[in-house]
Order: sequence, then C-alpha cells, then structure tokens
Amino acid sequence: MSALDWTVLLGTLFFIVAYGVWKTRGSNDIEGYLLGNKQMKWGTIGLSVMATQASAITFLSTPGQAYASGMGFVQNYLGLPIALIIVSAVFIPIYFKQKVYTAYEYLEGRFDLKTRLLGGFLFLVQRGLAAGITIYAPAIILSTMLGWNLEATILTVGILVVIYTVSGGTKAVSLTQKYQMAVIMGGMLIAFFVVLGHLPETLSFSDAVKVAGKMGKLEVISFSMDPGKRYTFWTGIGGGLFLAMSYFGTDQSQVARYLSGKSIAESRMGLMFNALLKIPMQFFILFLGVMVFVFYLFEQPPTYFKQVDIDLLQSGIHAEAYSTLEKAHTEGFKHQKEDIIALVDAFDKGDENDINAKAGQLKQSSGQYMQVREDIKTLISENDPQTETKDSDYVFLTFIMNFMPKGLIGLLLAVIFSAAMSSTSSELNALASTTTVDFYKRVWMKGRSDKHYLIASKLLTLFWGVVAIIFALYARLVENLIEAVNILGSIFYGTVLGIFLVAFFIKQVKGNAVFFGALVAQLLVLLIKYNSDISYLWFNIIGCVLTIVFSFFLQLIIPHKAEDSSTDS
Amino acid sequence: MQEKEEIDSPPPIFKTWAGLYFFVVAFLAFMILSFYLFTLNYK
Repeated sequence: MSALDWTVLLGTLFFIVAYGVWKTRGSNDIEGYLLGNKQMKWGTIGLSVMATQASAITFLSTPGQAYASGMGFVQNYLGLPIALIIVSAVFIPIYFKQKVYTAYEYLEGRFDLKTRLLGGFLFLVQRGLAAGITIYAPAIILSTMLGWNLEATILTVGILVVIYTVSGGTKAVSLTQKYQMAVIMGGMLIAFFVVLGHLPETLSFSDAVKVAGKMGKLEVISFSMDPGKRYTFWTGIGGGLFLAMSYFGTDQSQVARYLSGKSIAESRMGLMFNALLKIPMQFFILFLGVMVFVFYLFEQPPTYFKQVDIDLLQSGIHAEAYSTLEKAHTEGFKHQKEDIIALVDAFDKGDENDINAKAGQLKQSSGQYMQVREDIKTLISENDPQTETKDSDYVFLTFIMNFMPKGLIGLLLAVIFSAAMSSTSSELNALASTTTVDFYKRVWMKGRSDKHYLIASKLLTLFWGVVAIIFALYARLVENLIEAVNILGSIFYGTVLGIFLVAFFIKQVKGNAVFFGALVAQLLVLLIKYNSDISYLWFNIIGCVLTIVFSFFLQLIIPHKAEDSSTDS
Repeated sequence: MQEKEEIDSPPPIFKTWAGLYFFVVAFLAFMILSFYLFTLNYK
C-alpha cells in the first residue's frame, strides 16, 4: 500500500475519532451520556440507524455475495420497511411516553422485574458475543489479504472505538456515524464508477447488464416456494419482517439510536429515512458486486480469491494437481471470454435467435469453467480440511487492491474500518446502557447520584470494549464462530420480539405468563434448531409466535392471586 | 396533552403519519414490481 493510501486511511480514521471526542467533551450527566440529551434530529438518527446495521462485513461480503450468487440477497430486506412502520407507529410512542433509557426498562412497568431482566440478559448474551465478531470478521479478512498482523488490526479498531465511545457516549456514536456513513457511501460510489471505468471500452453499460442477466446474476426477485432456497420473496417478507421488527424494535443497539431523538416525530422520521433508503442501498451494493463479476469476465480472475490458500496448495503435496487445474482455469477463462464476446456481438445485432444460441454456448463454457473452480476448491479442502472453501468475502477486496488508483485504496479501506467502528460503537454503547440501567442501577446499586451512574456507564462501556476485543482476539480458536453467533442471534430474537408484542397488544397477559411462556418458547426454538434444517430466518417467526401463544394460554391457567403477588419491587 | 400533541405532530410534506406510512408501503410495492420486471427483462 502506498504512502498516500496510508495517509488517507489513517487521516480519515483519526479525524473521525478526534471529532467524536472533541465534539462531545464535557458530557457530564447520565441522560446526556446514554440518550445524547435527546437532542438528535432525524437526519442524524437516520444515518446512525443505518450505520449501526451496516457492519464492515456488509461492505466486504455483499459485493462478493452478488459475484458468487447474484442479487437475490436483497430480498432479505423486503420486510424491513413494514417492520419500521410498525416500530414507528407502535414502539416509539410507548418508549417515549414511558421515558425509558432502554427497551427492557419498559418491560418492568408492563410486566415485572424478572421479565425486564430476562429481556436485558438475552440482549447482553447475543450482542456481547456479536460485538467481538463485528471487530473480528473484517480484521481476519484484512489481515489475510494484506498480510497485516491480525492482533494489531483488532486492537487498532477496538481501541479507536473504545476511545470515543467511552468519552462521548451516545452523542459521540451518533455524530461520528454521520461522517462514517459519508465516507462509506462516498467510497462505495467511487468504487462503482471505478469498476465501470475498468470494463472494456467496447462493452456498453447496457451490454454489461445484459451479460450479467444471461449469466444468472440478476434474479432479484424469486417467488419460488422451495423451502431449501435461502432468499425468496416469501422469506424476505415473512422472516425478514420479524427479524427487522425484533432488531429495530427490541435490540438496544438500535433502540438507543432513536431514543436520542429530540421528539417522537424526529425519531419516526429517522426510521422512515431507513424504510425508504435501505433496500435501494443494498441493491446498489449488490449491483456493484455484479459489475465486479462482469469485470472479471474480461480480466482473468485468480483461480481462488483467498491467495493464502493457494500459497499453501502450491507448497504442499497437491502442487502438481493444482498446476494442471491452473492451466485448465486459464483455458476455461479464454473459452468463456470468447463466448461472451460472441454474445455481446449478438446483442448488438439484435437477432433474438442468435442471442439465444450464443447464450446457450456461453452457458456450456461457463459451466466447464465453474467446474474447474469447484475442482480447485475441492483440492484446497483436501490440502487443508480445516479451511473454509468460500472465497466470496475476498472478491471485492482483491479488486480494490489490484485495480483501485492510489489514494482510493486507502479510502476504501477507511470505508471498511468506518463500518466496523460505527456498528461496534453502537453495540458497546447499548451494552453499557443496558448493564447500567437494567442491572447496575436497578438491582445492584440503587439510589446513587447521577455522577456515580455516569462513571459506572463509562467504566461499563470500557468493560464491554475490552470484552469485545478479547473475544475478537480469541475468536479464531473457536470453529465456525461467526456462524454460531449469527444463529444465536436469530434464536433469541423471536422470543424477545414475542415478549414485546404481548406487552403492546395483549393487555390481559401478565408477568408470570409471559416470563414462563417465553422460556418454554425459547426451549422449543432450540429443540427445532437442533432437529431440523430450516433456514435461520424462520426462527424469528417461530420464537415470536410460540411466545405469544404460550403466554396467552398460560395466562388462562395461572391463578390471578399468584400473578398479583409476582410483581417485584 | 403535550404528549398527545407530540405524537400527533405531522411529518414534513405529509399531513399525517398514516399518509407517510402509506407512501412507504407504496414505494416498497413499486420497488418489488421494478425488481420483478428487472428480473424478467434480464433473464
């Protein structure tokens, strides 16, 4: 990496951290620290909500996902606008009316202390683990790709986030996220135009899109009812709706963002900003990945995008077999490219029969070429059975490092770091506020001064920052950790959402019924998880529905006397 | 009373929150239709 790239990268990161610390200096009360004095306007809230959701993996992996599997992933977000409308219309007025610091605080007023603590505990478990992964996941990719020291990368991201999050609390998180989103969106837009600029001069943009379509990368919507298909209209609008409702309505890392709003209207507008822009943003990032795919149809890509695995292969017992496959890869690429050029010519002539004939030829040569790639993956797996044979996370970064002009490489890396920092800071801030408000202040240390709780919040932010960094440092020792954490999140989300929906809509259900109903529902979700192969998105619906149903029926059989005496003080 | 006013304070441009929510749903439907036509066109 050039000196200019280092200057852009470090300059961007240090400016954002310094701005966050300087702008929020002198935060000296608990409301200011945890709720940003409730002064945020809708633009800041909207960008903050967006930046919290979009982690570094969003910008690293999503283009690679489009490269490998096309644009169907955008369907995951189809339920999001409807979920945000529900959160805006139902959740926000209740949270504001109750003047809560955390979502779980509301559960005590509506049910009892143990339900509040259950909600807070489930959040701390899943988000505490996820915060480490938010730092680890991009760090492992960057260190593998760029040869950076993994521990140093994790420590750099972790320490920078901890500095401004501990110092300025919620306000620092929201203010820095504005600039981080500006860097992210600016960087991705520039990347898009650089990719287009690298396409062959003879290939028009329209032809590039047509080629991508013929290669099966532009299936954005699928109404398939196949339960084995991961992303369809139905999983998005159904599972995606519940996932988004749970995430935006009950996950403190998001709730804290809109609780800092100056008014209900500002908070609602912040969410509607996301309801309108989130899907177009995801579409754009996936489309960028498709254009990278088209680029690599004309420029020979590496045999495998994770170079470290290829290096291992070349120095091991499979070196000769790899050499043969490498030649087949080059040949396969040449044939595929010839067929693509023939297809583009057919597009220009506009003869539909000729287009179909050329598309058929391309399908055949592309199939053979893809088979060589699969054979290489098999060889990598045989060479190192522990390694994961998925290189899509490395596609976009490979393009950045090899084809971006000097200076822009630094900017794109700043995009990735900014995204990692923006979501981590929200997570640390939310973990600290939940621990302070729902546990420390409510259970362990009641009746202390505001200053005492402010110091406790800062120390707890530091504590969670250290936990996240330690977890990230040791993450690679645990097999399939990222997947485990993702599944863990979806297992708990449905139950937590169920508790909140019961709270809002089924007034006759009281604390004991919802508490035990939620526990039974959670156990059943775990049983289903370990005894079936259904997509994880469905756990959100199952957990939610089971919690509502069990709570309702338990309320019918629990004696009212026991219920009345259950309310904790 | 003040809380009620705050809840009822309308969003910019639209007269009511229901109007804005309707717009968001209509925009979602428009996006889904566009994606579907895009998928069919480039199959």
